[in-house]
Amino acid sequence: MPAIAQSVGMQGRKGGDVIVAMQAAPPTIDAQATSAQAARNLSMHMFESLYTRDEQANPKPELAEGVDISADGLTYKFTLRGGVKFHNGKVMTSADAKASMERYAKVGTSRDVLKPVAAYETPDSKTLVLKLSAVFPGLIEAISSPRAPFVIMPEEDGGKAMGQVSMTGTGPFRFVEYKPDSHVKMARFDDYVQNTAYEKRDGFTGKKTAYFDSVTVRIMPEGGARTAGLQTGELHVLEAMDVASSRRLKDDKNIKTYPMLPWAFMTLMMNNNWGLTSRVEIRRAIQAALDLEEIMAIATDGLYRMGPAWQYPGTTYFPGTDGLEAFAKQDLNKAKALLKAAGYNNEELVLICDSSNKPHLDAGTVEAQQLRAAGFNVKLNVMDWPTVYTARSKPEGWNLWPLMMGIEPYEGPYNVVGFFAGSQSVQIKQDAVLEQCNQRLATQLKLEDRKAAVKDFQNRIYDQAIAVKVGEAGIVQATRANVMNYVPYRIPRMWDCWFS
Amino acid sequence: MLRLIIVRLLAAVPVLLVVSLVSFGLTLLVPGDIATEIAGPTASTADVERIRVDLGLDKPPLVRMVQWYGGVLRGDLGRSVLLNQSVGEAVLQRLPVTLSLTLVALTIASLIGIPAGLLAASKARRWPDQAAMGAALIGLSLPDFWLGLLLIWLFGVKLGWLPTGGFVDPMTSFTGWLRCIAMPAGALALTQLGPIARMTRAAALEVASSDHIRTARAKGLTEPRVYARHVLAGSLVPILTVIGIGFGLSLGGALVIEQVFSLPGVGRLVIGAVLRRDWPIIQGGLLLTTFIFVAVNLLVDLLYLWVDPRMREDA
Amino acid sequence: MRSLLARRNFAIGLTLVALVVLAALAADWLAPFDPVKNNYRNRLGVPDDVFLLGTDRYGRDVLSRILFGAQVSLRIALIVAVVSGLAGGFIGLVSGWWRGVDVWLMRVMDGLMAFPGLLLAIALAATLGPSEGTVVIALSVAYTPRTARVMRGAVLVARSQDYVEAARAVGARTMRLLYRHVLPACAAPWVVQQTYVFAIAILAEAVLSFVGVGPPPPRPTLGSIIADGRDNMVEAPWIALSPGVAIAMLVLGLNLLGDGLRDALDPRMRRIMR
Repeated sequence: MPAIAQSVGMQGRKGGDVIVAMQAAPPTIDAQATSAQAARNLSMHMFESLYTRDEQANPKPELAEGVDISADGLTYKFTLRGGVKFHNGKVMTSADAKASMERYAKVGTSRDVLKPVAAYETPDSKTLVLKLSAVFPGLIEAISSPRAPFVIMPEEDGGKAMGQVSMTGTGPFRFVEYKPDSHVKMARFDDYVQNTAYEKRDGFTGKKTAYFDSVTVRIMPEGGARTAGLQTGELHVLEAMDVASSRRLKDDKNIKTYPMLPWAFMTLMMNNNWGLTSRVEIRRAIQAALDLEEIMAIATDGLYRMGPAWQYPGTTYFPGTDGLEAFAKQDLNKAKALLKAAGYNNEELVLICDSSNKPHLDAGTVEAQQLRAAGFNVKLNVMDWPTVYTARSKPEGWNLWPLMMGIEPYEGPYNVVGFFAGSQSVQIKQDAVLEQCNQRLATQLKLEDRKAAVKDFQNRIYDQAIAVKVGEAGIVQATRANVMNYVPYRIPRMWDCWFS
Repeated sequence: MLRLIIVRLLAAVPVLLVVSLVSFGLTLLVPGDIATEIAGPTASTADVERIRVDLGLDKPPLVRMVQWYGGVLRGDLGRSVLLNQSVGEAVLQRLPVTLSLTLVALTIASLIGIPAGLLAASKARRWPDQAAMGAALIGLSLPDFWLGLLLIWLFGVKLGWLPTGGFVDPMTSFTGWLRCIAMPAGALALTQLGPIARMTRAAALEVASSDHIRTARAKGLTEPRVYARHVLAGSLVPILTVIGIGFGLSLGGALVIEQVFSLPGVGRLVIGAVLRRDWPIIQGGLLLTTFIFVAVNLLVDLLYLWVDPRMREDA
Repeated sequence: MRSLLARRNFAIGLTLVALVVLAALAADWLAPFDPVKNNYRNRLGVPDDVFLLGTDRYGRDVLSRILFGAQVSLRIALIVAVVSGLAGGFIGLVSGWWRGVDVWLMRVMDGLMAFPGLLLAIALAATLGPSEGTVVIALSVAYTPRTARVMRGAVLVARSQDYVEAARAVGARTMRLLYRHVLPACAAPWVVQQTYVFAIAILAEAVLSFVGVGPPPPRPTLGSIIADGRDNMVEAPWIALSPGVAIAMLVLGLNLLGDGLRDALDPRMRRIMR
């Protein structure tokens, strides 16, 4: 039925200025240099990458036609699409792609993934070859991630320092202006070259058509004002709407709400290096003392689902949930027994939590209550984001830290497993088994071996109670009812939708 | 007069020094920097450390302090990496928003507060006095951000008369600007209305009993005219003082009002800078706003001289 | 001098303040529910005969939160009034009596006055972690200069009084002079000023909690209840409405008390107070 509607009645209509509201200001609008959601909301309209993700988050070509990987896994030969135009009118060539990737290796946020790349070569204007010094089967997954996207910009921008680029891309919208704390304006790029390898929009790639004349993304910190703006029609699209508000507005004929579930992992990170949480029995007691469902219900306002796995069900690397039921259930008797066995003597358990993010704050508050009920002496330290981040980066002084991981589980296993590995691992104390899993994931050429590495990673996390996966949180995106053909995604995509 | 201006500007130097020292002290005490903001919430510690080195944030504080004061003496307040703007540019871009908000608020407060105060004085201790002063006191006692929320709910959502937030440049659309600024300025005005009305009443009562007002009455002027002309003229100095103080207070009050109404003003710039640890903006922004604060107070004093020539002798 | 009006205002003010203070003190008995207990099934409940003022997004009873929140807000404002009163009183006294240090002290006070208290509070909260203590420190620092100015003015008036000048001429000891003559003369303006500071501190604490640098959740303050309600202003305006009314009642009462005290103690004091 929807397919018929799309081909017959749902013809797109050009025109209009669509106004999108987002809550945070981007730390920079330089796409490569930040992994902030606010920047992604903008970048993905103006820029494109060699590879990006489709609707199901699988890597798919965008500016590349495809890639040939040599049998030894050391040579990646990308064939670029022909005739793709930048916003300045220039046609994209391999020189632009090379300069952009080289710039990323210098200033990009996820530049570590390019470390194995020894050379970037351009045998002709349509070909970019990446020569690796060591195998890295995750390369395509890494450079297709929108986390801090590996966007292609003109060669001239290649040498520019962070934040100094000209904001010229190949995307369906072009940059017009940025007024800090007020808005970012983008206009339709009329010379946009569609990717005809696809039938329709698909995740961040596909055959994209821009209908709106312009997109204005307004920065509005007040949730109430955003909801009110959507109700009065001043705003057309909300990046995220308060869940309770969305329930109340379900019957409002002028508004359409789009729940997105799953959106993020809710986790409780533990410092395995310091104080109480350096002892595995105490960490197990914490895991047993928590009622995960209550935490999720309150932190997400009811928009959640439970899931103990460290990958989303249905994705390539999903390790299954066998044997995890026992861990995921609250068991106060077990917690108390573990505490007693560990000789717990009312030592302080420090939970640090930021007030800038409501789900973090709510989860931290509920967790503190639950742990107190189980007999822990909890000190709840609520601080603003930079302070909490500074505190958690230190090897001592904190035990527990609630954190939502949004883009990482969407990307796949690399940044989830990687978060727990290396000298700067989130649990502070490196774990030999996790290190080995991360190594296997990064170097095993066979998918089955990499999947086994993810499963071993998950088992180790639960066995040693290294961190707690609380559940999977959702968000609600919302539009005015006259915004047609909108489909929710990691960002509010303003291509392939239009005003009725 | 010139001497007064010079003396006052010189007196501002130690004030500015105190402000800059306090803000510098904060950079040393407050943990975190913009690297965490740029990298994003789930960045690894290694990513953040790398950005820190890229931006030169790992230099010792004393070096940064010397560099900063050196820059200030050359008229360079520094640069915000997050905004990709110089501090001067960033503040000047937001200043029209904050100034128009406070000026409109004070204008509303004066246009209502002064007549209300005069009315109250002319009917002292009768019901118009009590009603006006009661209303003024209630206005003074309301939290302005709370009032802002109620206004958004009533005029923005329920009635749909005014936009719920945002700012339009008056050069682009004057009516658009007026619609955007009406609610925030109204909320801010209510808190300033009380002091202005109360001061007007107090000053007018004192002036009304003076000899030259009695002369005016004796000349047969009607009571409203006496108040509108002579009493008001005689009360202007204390009224101006309270408006001048109100200006400073409104700049502070604007911090929260800008937040509630999503206005891109100086207050949101500075609060955002603190929450994101954008130190050049915090230090430079505070220095500039303090200077504006001092300049406005000087302007008020100069207005006294214009209003009341007798004071020229003292100056 | 004690006009009927003044006495009536004073009485109204006293009643309003007493009402809120008593309700806050008796919160343990009056509050129908636990103010920090989440009730997931009953979120954003409309005011009814069980939850008189409705429930917030966590299903907590708004009335109970206001009663306990008023306790915290009152405690903070009272301590701020006392601390800024002592610090400002001392600085004002020194500044008004020893003219040599006056210029310097007043410049520092001007600098502090020009520094936005809200920013100081955010910075302190980031350094020390948000707590009642942080709020008290930030607000005390912010209001000390005002009290110092008022106190300095009062000391200047007192020291120019004939009997004080005479006592100095005959060589009375400074401490004795201050204790016997100057301080008593400054007591009235000090009390009145600190009543106003009390009122302003209630409003300021609400602003700080609203911005998120007040005492940490889940314990309520009047400001944090408004902050909790602001995202649901459209669907559930009652959450933010009633704590605002409580603040307004309290501040109005304190202002009336201040006015009444001022009029009763000394009508000329208006010259010193601004």
